[in-house]
Amino acid sequence: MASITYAEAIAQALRHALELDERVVVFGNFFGGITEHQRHFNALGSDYPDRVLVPPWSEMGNCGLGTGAASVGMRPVVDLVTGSFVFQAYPQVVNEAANIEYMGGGQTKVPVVFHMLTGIREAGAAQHSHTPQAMLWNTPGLMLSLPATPADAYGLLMHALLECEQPTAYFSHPVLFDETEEIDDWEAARVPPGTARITRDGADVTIVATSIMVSRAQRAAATLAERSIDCEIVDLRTLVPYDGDTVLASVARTGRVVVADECHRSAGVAAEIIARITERAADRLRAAPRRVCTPDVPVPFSPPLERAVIPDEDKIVQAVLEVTR
Amino acid sequence: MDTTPLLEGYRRMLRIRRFEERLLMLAAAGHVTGHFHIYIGQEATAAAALLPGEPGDVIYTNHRNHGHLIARGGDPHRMYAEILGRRTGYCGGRGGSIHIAAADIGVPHTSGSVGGSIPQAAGAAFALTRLRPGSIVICFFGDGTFEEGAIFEAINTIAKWKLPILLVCENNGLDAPAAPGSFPTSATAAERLTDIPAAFSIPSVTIDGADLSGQLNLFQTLVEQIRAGGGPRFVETSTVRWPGSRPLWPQLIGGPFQTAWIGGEEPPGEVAQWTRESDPLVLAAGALDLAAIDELDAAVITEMADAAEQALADEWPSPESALVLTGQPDGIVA
Amino acid sequence: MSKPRREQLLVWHREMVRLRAFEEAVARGHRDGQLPGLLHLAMGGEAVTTGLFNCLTETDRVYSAHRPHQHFVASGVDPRLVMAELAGRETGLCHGRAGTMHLMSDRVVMGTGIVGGTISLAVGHAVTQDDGDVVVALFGDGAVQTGTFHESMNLAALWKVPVLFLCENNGWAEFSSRDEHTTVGGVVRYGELYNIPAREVDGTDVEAVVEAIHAMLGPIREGQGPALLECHIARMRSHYEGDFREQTSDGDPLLTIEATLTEGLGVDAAQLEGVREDELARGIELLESVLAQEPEPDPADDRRFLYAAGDA
Repeated sequence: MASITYAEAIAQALRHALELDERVVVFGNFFGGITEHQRHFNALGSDYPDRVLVPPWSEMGNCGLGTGAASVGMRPVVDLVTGSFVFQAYPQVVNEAANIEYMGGGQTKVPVVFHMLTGIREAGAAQHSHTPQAMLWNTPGLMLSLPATPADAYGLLMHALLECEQPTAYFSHPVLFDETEEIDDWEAARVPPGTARITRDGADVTIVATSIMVSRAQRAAATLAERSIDCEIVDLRTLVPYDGDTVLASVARTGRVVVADECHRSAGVAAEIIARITERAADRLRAAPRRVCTPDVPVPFSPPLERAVIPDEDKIVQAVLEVTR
Repeated sequence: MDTTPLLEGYRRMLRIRRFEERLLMLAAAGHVTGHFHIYIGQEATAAAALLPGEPGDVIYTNHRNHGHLIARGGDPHRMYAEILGRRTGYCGGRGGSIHIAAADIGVPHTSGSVGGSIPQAAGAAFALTRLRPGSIVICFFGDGTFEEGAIFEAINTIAKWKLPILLVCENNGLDAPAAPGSFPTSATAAERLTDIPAAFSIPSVTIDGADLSGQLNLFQTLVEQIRAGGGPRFVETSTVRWPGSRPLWPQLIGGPFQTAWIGGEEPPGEVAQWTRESDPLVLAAGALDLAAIDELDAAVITEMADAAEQALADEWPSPESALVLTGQPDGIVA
Repeated sequence: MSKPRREQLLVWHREMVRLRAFEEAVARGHRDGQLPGLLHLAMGGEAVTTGLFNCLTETDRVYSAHRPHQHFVASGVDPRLVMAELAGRETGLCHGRAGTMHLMSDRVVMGTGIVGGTISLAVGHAVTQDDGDVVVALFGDGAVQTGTFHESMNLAALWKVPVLFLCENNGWAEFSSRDEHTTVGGVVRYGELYNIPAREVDGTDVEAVVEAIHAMLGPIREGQGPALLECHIARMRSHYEGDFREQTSDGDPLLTIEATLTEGLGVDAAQLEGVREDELARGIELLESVLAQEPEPDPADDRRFLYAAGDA
């Protein structure tokens, strides 16, 4: 059994995809960001010098590059590096790639993957700390993958690169890079998108989470267990496709829900999930839902300020205490 | 001079002209919703640039796309149907005039955003180097595109990676004072548009966009060079804007083109000067036989009228088809 | 020059050393884990920065980029405010909200974490400037690949906006060398393209920088429109502090000016060394004093400075 880090799992998915399908091409190669995990991707670039390319640094140009290449039969992944930089590329991601298949009446598929590191990651300040998935969820035509574990980092990227016919926004998180998991069967890690996972069974409250929030929820659940509150954690894995059935079944069992997400609060991912739950299961709720998200302020630089805005495990604990009061 | 490419080029120009005229008639009769852009006056460029095209090539155009689609072999019925929002349109009625895509003839997507297609055209050209070496991208855009940063980002990569793409910049603002209520065609601080790609070491030329035989020779040569791995090429074609395209909503000013104008009969006053001096259908006809033109023209006029009539009679797409996100709605007939 | 050359160069030397010492102190603080975040240090840019602020007036304005510390210090901002901001303290220039890349002040309006992010802002600001005033847009050679650079140059040229586009070309855009990311030879070529005055200058030579900037500001102040100056400098540190890639280049402007002073103007090397030691000591003392004394912000204040607070 091999213990693999989240970052290695991403590199492994890129490697396997490059080996399995000659249509796969990589534009940009900073998946490891400024961490020492980048060495896995540098090795990949050395091993595949004509498949892992570094275009000139222009996010909009490069997302268009990937979109165009996908439109005529390749399967590219464009590395935007930091989620905040997707705003430079917005016209191509939101107004082009997401629209092409529908606007063309289904004539053209655009299987491009846009990779970005999202979230708050230590003193990045406002322009490097965005969690853009809420804005991108408000864009019909994009698949959204948010792996919380190394196995899912691998499996969801493999799906996006090799099988998905739609554009995918794939959200990694630098704070997850060190997470490890035993993976001895790569095939088994390829669980399809649109399937949520219950990572912790519980009877008292449902915590719905993605990405970095899953492990924060796990730690909150351990704290809450000491207070005899039994949390069920639903890792959505993908926002699009969205597995409403698993969420609703859990809420039907527990009657209480906390949604934890790193997007800003207003019109955030948590807001949408709660809307979907209450539309279908309001009568099963024994308390008003709660969300734990980044407040509506630009992410500040100073560590005590940044800590104040991160939706961390303590805030999840507080929210659970409120819905179970 | 071999008249066969010339005659074929002229035939394509006639098809574009009669297609656009029929569209203007539909609009005047109140059948067209949404804005549309007319290619009259620029036909020689589409005809000449796409004549050396091959099935494996990929074409990117823009909001003024009808001429490129017709010259590429687009089906007029499916084009009218799309412009009229019918189920049978190329995009099932979802795109309209500005976004006509026709994947079966190598037009995967048409962006309505100025500059939106250029980065994608670069990506498609890259893909062709891997999937179909020898195939190229032909990318049409207007002079206003240089006001958008996107083209600079794309051109930098195109030049650096020596991508197989023919960039055709149609400058249709030549000598065209802005009509009251409209806006100037483009605003750039560069002295010549070709200075821009030249700064990136992309070989660049300008040519009269109404000169059919000159463009036939030029595009044939450039396409061969690109196919052979010579890297990108840039052409700026210049035309005087057709009077009917000057108002915000295009109008068939002067009525349909008359082949008699080739022979010297005077066109109506409002288009007389433009027709004599700038209409490519007049300027290119000199080397051709008028009887041959008339024979082609009769068939083309009928074809476009039938296509428009058929499209008008076609069904609307179902409301439910609006909610079908992926795949082809309503099983569009290809 | 109103001063004798020797005296002027000694003044500039001290200023350049002061700027260098600030970054050296910051580097130490980052290395010791005291200064958080992703730091981009400007060692190698001292001649350009010193030369620039020598030529600007109090009402001129500057927009910087992601390597902004020296620009702010040189503009007259109290270095203590900058250091405190880098340390995330409440008493920092932006109360700890901005950090290294997003510093803001009156004269140097802002830095940015987005490549090319401030160029269009500089143009917009310059449109509002009073006659005779200039806005300087500072950016690196990587920013020239962004669409916004072209949109800004085009507009400034067409509208004759009083902007000096000043490119600090260190030959690197993040991790790509210049020839890896463009076929265009020099940044100065874009000036020719947009028909605005354009020059390049050795950015390691403060005298050359001053001459070039002085010459270019005149016509801009007279309303003749923008200009482009490409300053060739060294990138003495990698893209960010801690980057394991050794992507640096040679050309220390301090060595250039010190050579001129000692070889050509009879200054004793020991005197210059004394200036270096003196300024470095002050820089380190500033770092330590800030770390020890300046208070951290109160997390309960995280919504201060946000006007549309809503009910979040």
